[in-house]
Amino acid sequence: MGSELAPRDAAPSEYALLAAKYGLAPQVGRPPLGKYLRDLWGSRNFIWALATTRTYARNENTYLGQIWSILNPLLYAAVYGLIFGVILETNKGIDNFLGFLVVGVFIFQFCAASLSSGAGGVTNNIAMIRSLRFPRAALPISVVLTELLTLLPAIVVMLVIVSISGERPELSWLLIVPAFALIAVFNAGVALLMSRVVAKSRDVKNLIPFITQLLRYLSGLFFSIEVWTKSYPLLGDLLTYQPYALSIEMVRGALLEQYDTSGLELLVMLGWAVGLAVGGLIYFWRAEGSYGVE
Amino acid sequence: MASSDELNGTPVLIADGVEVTYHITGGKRTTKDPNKRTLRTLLGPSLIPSVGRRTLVAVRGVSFVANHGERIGLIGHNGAGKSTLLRALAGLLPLSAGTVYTGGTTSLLGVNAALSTSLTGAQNIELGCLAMGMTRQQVKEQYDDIVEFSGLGEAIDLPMRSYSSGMAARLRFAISTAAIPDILMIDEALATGDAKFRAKSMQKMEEVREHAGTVFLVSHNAQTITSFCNRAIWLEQGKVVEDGPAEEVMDRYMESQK
Repeated sequence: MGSELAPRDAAPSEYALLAAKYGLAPQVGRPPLGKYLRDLWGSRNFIWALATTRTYARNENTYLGQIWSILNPLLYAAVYGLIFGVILETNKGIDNFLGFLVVGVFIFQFCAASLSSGAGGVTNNIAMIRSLRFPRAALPISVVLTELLTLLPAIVVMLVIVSISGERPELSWLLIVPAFALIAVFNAGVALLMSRVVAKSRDVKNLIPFITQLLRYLSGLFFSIEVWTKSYPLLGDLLTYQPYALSIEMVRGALLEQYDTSGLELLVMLGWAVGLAVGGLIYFWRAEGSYGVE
Repeated sequence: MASSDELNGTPVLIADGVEVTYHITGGKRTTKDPNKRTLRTLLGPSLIPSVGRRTLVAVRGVSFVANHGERIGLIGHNGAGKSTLLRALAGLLPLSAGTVYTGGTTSLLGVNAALSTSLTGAQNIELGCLAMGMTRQQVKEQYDDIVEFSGLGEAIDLPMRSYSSGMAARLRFAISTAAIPDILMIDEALATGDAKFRAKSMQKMEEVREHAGTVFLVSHNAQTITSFCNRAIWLEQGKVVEDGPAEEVMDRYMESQK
């Protein structure tokens, strides 16, 4: 049998010729972008299954289970309400502070969770990457989807609190559906971007809690950014049009009577979402084939 | 079976100068270039600890041609690069040099191939099959066979973390072989599991081979290699020492160990 075996001592070019003769394709770590996108679309069932099963499994180990995904933002809202509403009184001039605060905290909760779990999109799934072949972008995308699914019960609670705070449910509330789609697309872009950054340099992961904390204070969760716009117009504009503040503003605009989202704000948010999603996907794809190596 | 007879003996996978390098962060730096002025030498060693980034060449220039219907055993001592080579052939590790040419689907089955231990066996079956590119319909059709093959019975609805290592290995084997791949790569999977399961696994590998597929097997068990493989590639320090009929290569490998 030995003689039938490979031409073991053949020069590299001969191997290439032999491969071409029998129609064998070189295994490439990174397929062209078009093919990559088709592969990614082909793995949509996998992305969905991964997100749903993880959502289910997430709180299995705690007694209160799924309820934590509601309790967590509620407790945050209570803490901020106490500190900023009662003690520091930054709520002056804010109509319906309860609704304002709850929307801010719940939406930011989703963004912060997407950022921190999304950053581990690659590094938390090394075992899977090392044993199965699939487009790796499926991982950060499914992480954000998991966060969105986890948030669903919390959204219901948010709507209930907003109605208690004095808002009347209207047809315009349905606008939160496209708003959430936009926020989710933006967060998926961030997750793709951060997944690659953290995969290459794990130290960055330690910075994420601080980035989150900074964003929390700069996104107008418990005070109105308008305060800044008056005294420092440039700083105010920067804060108003940053994507996390816009995400919150969009949902406030849909739910709260006194708040409106301007066309410009929507347009800028659309730009953030499309820009981050396209840019993040291309940036992530460029390192495809190198994920999973220490 | 006519088509697979025709295919038998023609190349299905070609490794052309395959090289794999690992970069390891951490651990103390062992070599120092005294002329190199780094931030550390400027600021002093106390400020920036000496954590080096080292490279380790695990597979260095491996070339061979694997044909349809072959059962190839990869042998060698611990750290010889067998498992790394297998991952590289399966396209799961990037190559630092060389090319792997393939003409079909590859499926790697390894001891570490864990999906998610917090999910149940049933959920893992669904996820694993979808990840391998099967459609929902195909998963539905195959599901019962996979559960049966794994022999897990009722335990299929328990989280995987409650499984014994043998049970987990059986489930992984059942998932990886659900869609019969053109090239099946097995890393020590037969070391776990009882005699009955090993017999089943052998049968499955035979099935792959009958479909003109190729099987790669990494095993420390000499008997597994000689009884199942018809060809063996002996690796030492990331290089091919010998490549030929399984029994001959195995004999010389055993001799070298004395």
